[in-house]
Amino acid sequence: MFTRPNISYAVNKVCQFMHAPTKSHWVAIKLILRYLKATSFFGLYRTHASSLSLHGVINVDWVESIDDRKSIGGYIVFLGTTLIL
Amino acid sequence: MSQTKQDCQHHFSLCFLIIVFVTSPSTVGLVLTIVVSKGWQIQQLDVHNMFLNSSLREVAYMAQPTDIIDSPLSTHVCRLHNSLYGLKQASRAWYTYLSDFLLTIGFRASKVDTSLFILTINHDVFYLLVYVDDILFTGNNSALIQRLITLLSSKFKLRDLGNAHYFLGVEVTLTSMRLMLIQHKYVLDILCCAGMSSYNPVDTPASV
Repeated sequence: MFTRPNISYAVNKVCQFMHAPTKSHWVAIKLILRYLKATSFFGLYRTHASSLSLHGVINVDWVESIDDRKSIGGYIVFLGTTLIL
Repeated sequence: MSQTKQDCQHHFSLCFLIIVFVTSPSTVGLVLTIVVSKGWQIQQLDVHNMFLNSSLREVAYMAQPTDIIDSPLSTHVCRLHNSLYGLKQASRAWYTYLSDFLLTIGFRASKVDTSLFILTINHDVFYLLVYVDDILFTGNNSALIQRLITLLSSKFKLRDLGNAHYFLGVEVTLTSMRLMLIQHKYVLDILCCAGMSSYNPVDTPASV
């Protein structure tokens, strides 16, 4: 997860079924692994930034999920131009 | 007897509240971003037999090792002076030992991440990140960094791995203007472990 925030949503979803996984969850996990295979050279870049200012961005989809009626929110924090959180 | 056993259990439950050096990804990210922006170098150090370095504050005993039992005193047990691998206190003893030493030479511990130590001398700033026995060390004065590494290695048996290339399973490539972090090798290891090395790659991590 350290360098791959792009799979964090998918991994978090399958983790919710760890106590009683079914075949469909195994299919989902295999899909994540196959995605990793395609993107194994993906990573995070930290680029030179002249200003190290801190700023954050959030987004929430108010009760958008039709499966569980839950809201999904997220936030990211940048130091300069680099994602740190 | 039951009293003693309870004491032991209480003692062990305390030991589970172990402070271990586990750096959070955001701390590493923060420090690395500063490194790139300031154009610093990162040194990676590795501590040899870290648990054996530290002395033990608690009284702990162990049975005599099966190979070297002192036959006239075969019912005796050994009292531990130093920490051993596998001991519940081992990682905490190591934490205390290292952080005490770093604090005596002028470092201060970060208030939010116990594995980050900061040293400021006049206009020089140094950051020391510890992940169990792996250490990342950076700062704006490379001559002083080398002197501090010498100082550290007088206390612990250290291996200087030079500029950081591979830390916590992350491949680190540092050029003058940017730093790249990838986990290519780790992905291959997972695929190999799952027996999926020959599977076809896909473009999305989940079905849409």
